[in-house]
Amino acid sequence: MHFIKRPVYKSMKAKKGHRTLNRFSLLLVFMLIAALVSACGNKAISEDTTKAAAAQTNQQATDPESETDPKAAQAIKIKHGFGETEVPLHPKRVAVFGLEDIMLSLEAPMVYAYDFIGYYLDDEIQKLNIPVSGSADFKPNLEAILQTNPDLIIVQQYSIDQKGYDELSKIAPTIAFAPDDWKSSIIEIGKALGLEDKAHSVIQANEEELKKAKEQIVQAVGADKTVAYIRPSDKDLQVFFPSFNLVYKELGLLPYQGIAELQQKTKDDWGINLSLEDLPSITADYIFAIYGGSIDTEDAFQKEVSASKAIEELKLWKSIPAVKEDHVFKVSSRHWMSSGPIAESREVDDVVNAVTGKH
Amino acid sequence: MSLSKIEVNLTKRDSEVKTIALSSRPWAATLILVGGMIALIFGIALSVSFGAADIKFMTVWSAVFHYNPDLTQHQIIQELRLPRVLGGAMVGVCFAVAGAIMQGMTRNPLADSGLLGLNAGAGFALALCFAFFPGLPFMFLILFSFLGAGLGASLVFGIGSMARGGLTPLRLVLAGAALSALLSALSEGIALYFRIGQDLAFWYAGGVAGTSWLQLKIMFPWVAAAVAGAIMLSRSITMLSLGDEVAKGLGLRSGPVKLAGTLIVLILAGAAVSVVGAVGFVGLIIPHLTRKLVGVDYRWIIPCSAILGALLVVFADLAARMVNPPYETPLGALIALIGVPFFLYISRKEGREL
Repeated sequence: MHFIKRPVYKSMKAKKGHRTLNRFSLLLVFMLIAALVSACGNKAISEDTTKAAAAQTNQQATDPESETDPKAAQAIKIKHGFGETEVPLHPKRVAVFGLEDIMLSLEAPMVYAYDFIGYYLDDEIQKLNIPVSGSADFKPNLEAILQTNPDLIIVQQYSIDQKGYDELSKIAPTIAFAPDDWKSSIIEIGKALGLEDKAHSVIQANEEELKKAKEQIVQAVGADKTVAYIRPSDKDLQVFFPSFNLVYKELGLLPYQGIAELQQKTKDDWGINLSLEDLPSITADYIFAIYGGSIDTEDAFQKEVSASKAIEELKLWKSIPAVKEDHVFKVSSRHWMSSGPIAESREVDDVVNAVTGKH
Repeated sequence: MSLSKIEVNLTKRDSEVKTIALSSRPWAATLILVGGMIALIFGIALSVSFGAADIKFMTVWSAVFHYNPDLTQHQIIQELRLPRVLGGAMVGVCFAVAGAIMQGMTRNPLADSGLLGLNAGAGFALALCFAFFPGLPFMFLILFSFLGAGLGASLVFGIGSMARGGLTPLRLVLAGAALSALLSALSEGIALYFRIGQDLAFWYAGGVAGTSWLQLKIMFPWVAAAVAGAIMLSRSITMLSLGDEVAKGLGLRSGPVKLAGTLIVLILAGAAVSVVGAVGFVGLIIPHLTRKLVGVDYRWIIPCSAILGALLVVFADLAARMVNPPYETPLGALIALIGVPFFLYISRKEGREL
């Protein structure tokens, strides 16, 4: 009931496009029914379906209102970045923007994804043969998403604002998650897709992977080595903070001493922009350095690395302890700056290979 | 000495010229040259002692004069601060002298390499280089920057002179603004398409951070030659600044002078942009200020502009670092803060006269 009512109410508020939106809600109902019918045929989630169905029966029994409209029980409330939204249980056509990492890990089907040549998940997404955004532009294209007829939209929170969220909601129920903490996002998304168990097993696999990596690193170099995660350029130096990346916390490496002092200098929790004059303060045993932004292709990465040669000519750079030890590792910001179990897994591989000497 | 000679020559031919020539103030110019030089040295010393790393002045002194490459603090002074500060001074010289020549040659009070599209042109050329030849050595980058400045200038003057009624100062500035917008938009398009926004961001904002000795070594001969050339041309530029008719009357062949002057301007603007990016207004403010102080003789205006331009950029860079430490405020924005009101003042004044 709620589910059907909401978009209509919204469209009245918006006044424009009232009729189109009514048609949309109709369409949504159709798709919901279609989803219901076909959900049972889906082996991958059949187990959860039974559970969910059982839960629904309980709900129906206790909720007198739902008896008048059985469809109401087919929706679930999901808490997300723009509030709480009722989404259909077991959606069939999920359009995704910016959270493909989580979807791929859940092995959940998508009808639309953010992807372009050079995206760190490009290979995996290409295999799915679905419409994609096709460019690095991190703003959902409403028209393209509309064309895929989604019954649920899952979007990275920072790619839209409230207005963008409202517009997406007119297409289909939309849930938005920040990339900062993928573990809580994957649980919520798992709930929405009826894949909560899978979500937990992804987290568990990730934790085991981290534990194993930590053991390998501690075994190879001991538990007292320090690390810095930076982005140098020939003009300035960015140092990322522990809250921003797992390399400082989960892998048996400690943040280098200077970090605490830097954290007091700024309110930002991602990191700080420093002058090259601060190079000598980077006393870490290991340095992981990224070049360029998170969306760059491999080519662009190589370009950025070669354009940053100037800094390596400086005596100031050469006298950094990690540089002397040849412990500076240039890593691709494509997965180091992205969030999700796949990005994290690749990052962990990078760190283990670098520290244990298997470049 | 030579100044009084030109006065005599001029007064013989044109009474209007006489009053202008008389308004030259060599004593003020000498004062600016000497005082400005002292202030500049002081500014450079101050700027070198101020930075992200806390370094005592005595250490700065010994780093400059008794460099020990094993000491971290000496490395900071030698590898980062000195080139940065000297780069700032050199860039100031470039923009100011380029502006002075442009204003003199074109008799356009609003001439400035930033306003007339040269900076945007050079920035566009740099964007092309970053996109298609990443990692291109600075030696070649600076050449492309010259070409880009030339492209910007010829487009602006070409379009400006297409208008009926010919080139008026305001028309040129309009053409410059339009072309600058176009070229910057193209550069941004390239930055987006080739995802080199990070590389280019510094060139938009303008700043001398990261200037290297290598850049200075490559830039210096160009700048030195161009400034020397400008001083050699200064007498002819004075004549041109009195109008083509007067210059002709004084026996000046304006064609070659204009060509040489244009080449010098392109070299100066191109070199400066390749190091700090599109910093505007230095070439507008400084020559006007200098003219106010020393009169209309370009033999004084050009060297004095050079000194004052260097002073402006060195102190602006120092301020850029002090406004919001540890972050650096973009140099271009800081100078525009003074430059924009100044531009409005000049254009209003000139508008009334037109």
